[in-house]
Amino acid sequence: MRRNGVRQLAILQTVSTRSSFLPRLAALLLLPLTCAAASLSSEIDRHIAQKAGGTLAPLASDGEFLRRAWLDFTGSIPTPAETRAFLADKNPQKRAQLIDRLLASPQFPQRMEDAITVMLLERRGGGKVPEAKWREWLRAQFAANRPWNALVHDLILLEGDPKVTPAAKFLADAEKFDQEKATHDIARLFLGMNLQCAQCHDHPTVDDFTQGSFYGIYAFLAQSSLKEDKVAKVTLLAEGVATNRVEFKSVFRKTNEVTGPRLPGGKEIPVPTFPKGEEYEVMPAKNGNPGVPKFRSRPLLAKELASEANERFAHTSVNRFWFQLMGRGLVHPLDMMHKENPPSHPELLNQLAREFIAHKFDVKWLLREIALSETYQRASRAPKGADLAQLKPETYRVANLKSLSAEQVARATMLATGAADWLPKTPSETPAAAAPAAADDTEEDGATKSAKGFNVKAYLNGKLKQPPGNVVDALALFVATFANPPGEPEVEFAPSMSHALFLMNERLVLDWLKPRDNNLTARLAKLKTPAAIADELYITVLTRPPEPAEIAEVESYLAKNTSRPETALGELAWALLASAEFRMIH
Amino acid sequence: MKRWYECGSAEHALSRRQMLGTLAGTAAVGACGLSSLMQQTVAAEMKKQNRQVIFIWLDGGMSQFESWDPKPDSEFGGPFRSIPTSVPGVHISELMPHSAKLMHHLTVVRSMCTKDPNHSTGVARIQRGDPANRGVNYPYLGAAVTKLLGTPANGLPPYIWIKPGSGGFIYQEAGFLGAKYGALALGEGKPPIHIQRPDTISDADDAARNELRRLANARFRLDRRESEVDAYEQSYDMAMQLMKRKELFDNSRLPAKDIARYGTHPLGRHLLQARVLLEAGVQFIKVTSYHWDTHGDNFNMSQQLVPQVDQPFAALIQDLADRSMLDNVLVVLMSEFGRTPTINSRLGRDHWPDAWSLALAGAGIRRGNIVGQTTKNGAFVDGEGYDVGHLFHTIFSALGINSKKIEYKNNGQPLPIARDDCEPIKLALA
Repeated sequence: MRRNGVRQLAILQTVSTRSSFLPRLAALLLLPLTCAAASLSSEIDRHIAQKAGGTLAPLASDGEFLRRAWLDFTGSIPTPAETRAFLADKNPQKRAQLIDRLLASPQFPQRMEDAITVMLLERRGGGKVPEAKWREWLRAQFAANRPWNALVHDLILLEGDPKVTPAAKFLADAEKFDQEKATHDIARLFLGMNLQCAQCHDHPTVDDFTQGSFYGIYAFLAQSSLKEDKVAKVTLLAEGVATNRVEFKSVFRKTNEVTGPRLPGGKEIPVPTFPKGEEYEVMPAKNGNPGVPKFRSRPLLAKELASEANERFAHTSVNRFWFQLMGRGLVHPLDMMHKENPPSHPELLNQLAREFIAHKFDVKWLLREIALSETYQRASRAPKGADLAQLKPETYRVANLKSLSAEQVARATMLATGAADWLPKTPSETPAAAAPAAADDTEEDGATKSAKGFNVKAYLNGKLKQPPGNVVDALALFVATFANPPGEPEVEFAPSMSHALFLMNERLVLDWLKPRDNNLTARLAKLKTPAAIADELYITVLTRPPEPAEIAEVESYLAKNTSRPETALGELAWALLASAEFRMIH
Repeated sequence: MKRWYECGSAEHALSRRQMLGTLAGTAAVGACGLSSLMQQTVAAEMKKQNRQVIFIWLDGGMSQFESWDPKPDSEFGGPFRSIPTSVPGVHISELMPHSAKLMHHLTVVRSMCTKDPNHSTGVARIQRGDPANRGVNYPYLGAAVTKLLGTPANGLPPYIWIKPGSGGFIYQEAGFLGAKYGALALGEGKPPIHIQRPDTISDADDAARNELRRLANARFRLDRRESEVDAYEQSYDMAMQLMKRKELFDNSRLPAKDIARYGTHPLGRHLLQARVLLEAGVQFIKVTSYHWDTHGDNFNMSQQLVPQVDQPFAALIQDLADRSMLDNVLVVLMSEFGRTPTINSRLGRDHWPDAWSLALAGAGIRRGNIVGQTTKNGAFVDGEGYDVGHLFHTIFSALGINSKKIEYKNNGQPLPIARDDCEPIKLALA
C-alpha cells in the first residue's frame, strides 16, 4: 500500500507545490527515498489538500502563528520581547525552531498537565488525593515524555493506595470505586464511545454502541473494589475472584445476557475457574491483605486497552491530540466514534494512529508533526474569494478557532497586563498584608473554609473582600469563573454572561490594568506617540503589530481623553483583553 | 433507531410512536444532538401566554396540622384551633389568619401521599417530580419549566432561586437538560457580585470601553465563518442587560410599606423580592426557606414559623391579584413531606409522607377549592391520594403544557416530563 504508485505521485505533487524547482528535481531523482521518508506533517497536508474541495487559506502571519503555538504548547502568550524577536527573525526555519523550543520548555509539561487534567478529570474535584499532587505527577509524566499508552496503563492498573497515589485520581479517588462511572470514562476517553445509553439498552441510533460493549468493559472491573488492609494500614483497589461472566438485561428485552471481559471489537477473555481454595495467588488475610487472585481482569484491561493491537485506543488517542491542536476531531464528537459517524479523513486518521504506534505512543513527537504541518499553521481568516458558508470546520481549509481554557485565560491575562511579573507565585510567598482575611463564612449549605489561602466561593459571594494576591489564587478565581461545571467536557466554546461580567467588573483584573512598576499600562504611559503606544499595546496583548486603522483608533481615543490619559490607556488595554481575538486561539 | 421496535412493553408503546413522529427523517447525529421539534412549537405557544411560576419551598417539612389541614379536638390535633376562611365551610389553622382571608384565590390539596421519608433524597426527588429510574438525572422543576416554556425574550435570567446562604449559578438543577438550564441563585437575595460595576467606572467610561471592544470584535469578525465571535458578543450583551436591571436585585429599594406587609424576616423579604422579579418578567422563581424540620418542640416552633410564611404568602397572593397577575402566574407552596400525626417524646412531629397538604394558586388553578381529605385524625388520606407525579402533571397542565404528550429527548432517548403512570389532579385545575 505504501509503495503504491498513485500514492507516490500524490506525495510528489504535494512536494512540488511547496518547493522550488531545484528540490523538486532532487525529489524526482530520489523518488523512492523521498517517499519512504515522507514526514507525517507533509502527509497531513496531502490528506487535507486531497479532500479540501476549494482553496486553502495561506499560512498564518508570523504573529498569529506565534500566539497559537505559545498558547498550544505553553498555555500562555509570549512576552512582548519574545514577539518582537520572532517577528524580526529572518531565519526561514524559525517556525520549526520555535516549535522545538516550546516543546522543550518547562511550560510544555505544565500546559499538558492543564489540558489532560481537564480532559480526564473534567473538573470533578473531590477525593482524597489533592489535585496538586495529581498535577505534579502528570507534569512529571509529560516532562519525561512518558509514552501515552504507558500513562493510560498506569491509570487503569492502579497499584497503590488510592488515598495517596496520584494516578488514582482518575479511577478511584473517592470514598468508593464506582465501576459504572469507570466504565463510562474509559469508554468515552480512551475508546471514543459514549456509552451512556448503552448501560441500560443498546444505543437507539448507533449500531456499534451495544449494551454488550458496555458490560464487556465493565466485566474487567466487576471484581475491583476498595478494600482496607487494617494490618498494613492501607487501602487498595483490590480484586475478588471472578467466578462467572457478568449478567445484564436490557430494559426493553426482559431476557438476561452474559459477557466476560471483552474490549469493543475484541475477543471475550475466558474466565478460568479454579478448584475451591486454589483461587488465590496470595491468600486474603483476616482484616489484613485482601489477597491477590490468580486471575485478575483489571491488569488485563490496562494491558489490552493501551496496547498496539487495540485500534480503537490508538484512533481515539490521536483523534484527541489532533483535536487539541486543530480545534476539531477527525472524528467529531470525540466520543462518537462509530460507523454512522465516520472520520472526515479516514486515511489520515489511520496513518496518524499507525505512526503514533510506530513511534511508541510518543505524544511530543505527534504534536510536533501536527504543528509542523501547513494545516496547523494555516491562517484563520478565509482565503480571498472563498464562500464563508462552504468553509466547513471538518475541511480544515482555514484554521478553526479554539477558545482559551480557563487556565489559558488566566495565564494570558496575567502575562499581558504584566501581573505575571509582580504577583507572588504561591500563597506562601504572599506578603501578610495582601493575604486574604479569614472569610466570614457562616453557611448552612456546606461551604467550607479552607484552612489557609483563598476561599473562592466566599469571594464570589461577596463575603471575602480581599481579591487573590498570588498566581495560584488568581488561577483558582479564573477557573471558578471560566471553567465548565464539573463533569462537563470542555470541547466547545461556551461563552457565558458570567465571563463577561467578570471581565467588566472584577476588581482584580481592573487593578492589574493600573500602572505599576513596569507593567503594561506603566510602559504605555511612558511612550510619546500614539503609534508607539498602539504598537506596544497590540504586540503585548494580541501578539501582533497594529493595523493602521487600529493606530488611528488609539490616537483618537487618547485625543478624546487628554484629561485622563492613564485611565484611557487602561480602557484601551481592557477592550483588547475583553475582545474575541484575545479569547480565541485563532 | 431500529432497536426501538424491538421493545415490546406496553409502557414504551407511546414513547416509540412519538419518537418516530419527531425523529422520522432525522439522521443519526451526536450524543446530544437531538432536539425536539415538538418542544419548539410548545415554546412558541407558551411565550404568547407569558406564564410565570413562583415556587415556594419550605425545606424540612411544614406540619399540615398546624397549617392547611388542622384537626382540632382529635387525638393528634395539637393545641391550635381552626378558623373559618373566605370560603364558607373551609377552615385552616389559626396560625394562618392572613391566608384564611384569601382562601377564595387558592386550591389546597390535602391528600398528598408520597413515598420518601428522608430529607436527603426527598428534596431532590420531589423537586424532580419523582421520576422513574431511567439512568439519567432529571431536572428540577425550575429547570424543567425553563426548558418547556422556552426562554423569554426579556433578557432576564429565566430561572432565579432566592435562598439563604450562598448564591451562584447552580447548574446541578438542570440535570440532563444541560448546565444552561440551571438556576441563578441569589444568596441572601443578593445578585452575583460582578453585576456591580466599580464606582470608579462611570456610565460614559463603561460605554466608551465597550465601544472599543465592539470595534475590535467587528474587525476580528471579518472573513471569519465562525459564529464564536457573535456568541461572545452576545454574552456581553446579556451581561449588560442584566447590569442595567440591577435595581431589581437591590433590596434597599424595596418599598418600606411592602416590607412591613411581607415581614422583615428572610422569607418575607425574599418573597417581596420575588414579587418584584415576577413583575419584571422573570419566568421561574424558587424561594427557599430552611429550618421547617420540627422534630422537637413542634408547637412552639410552628407558632413562630407558620406566621413567617402566612404573612408574606398572603401579601404575595393579594399583590398578584391586585395587579391582575394571578391569571399568568402559578404559585406553588410546599415542602418535601408533612409531619407525623403522633407527637414524639420531645413534643415534636417527625417526617410523614403518607398524608400531607400543599397550596396552589394562580394560572390554570381552580379558586376557593379544597382537593381531597384526610381521615378524622389526620393520619391518612381518605380517598384518592396524590403522588409527586400527579403534582408535576398538574403544574405542567396549569402552565398549558400537555404533560401526557410532550417528552424530553436525551441522547435520542424519549423521556416523559412527568411520571407516565400518573395523571394531572383534575380537581385542582381551572
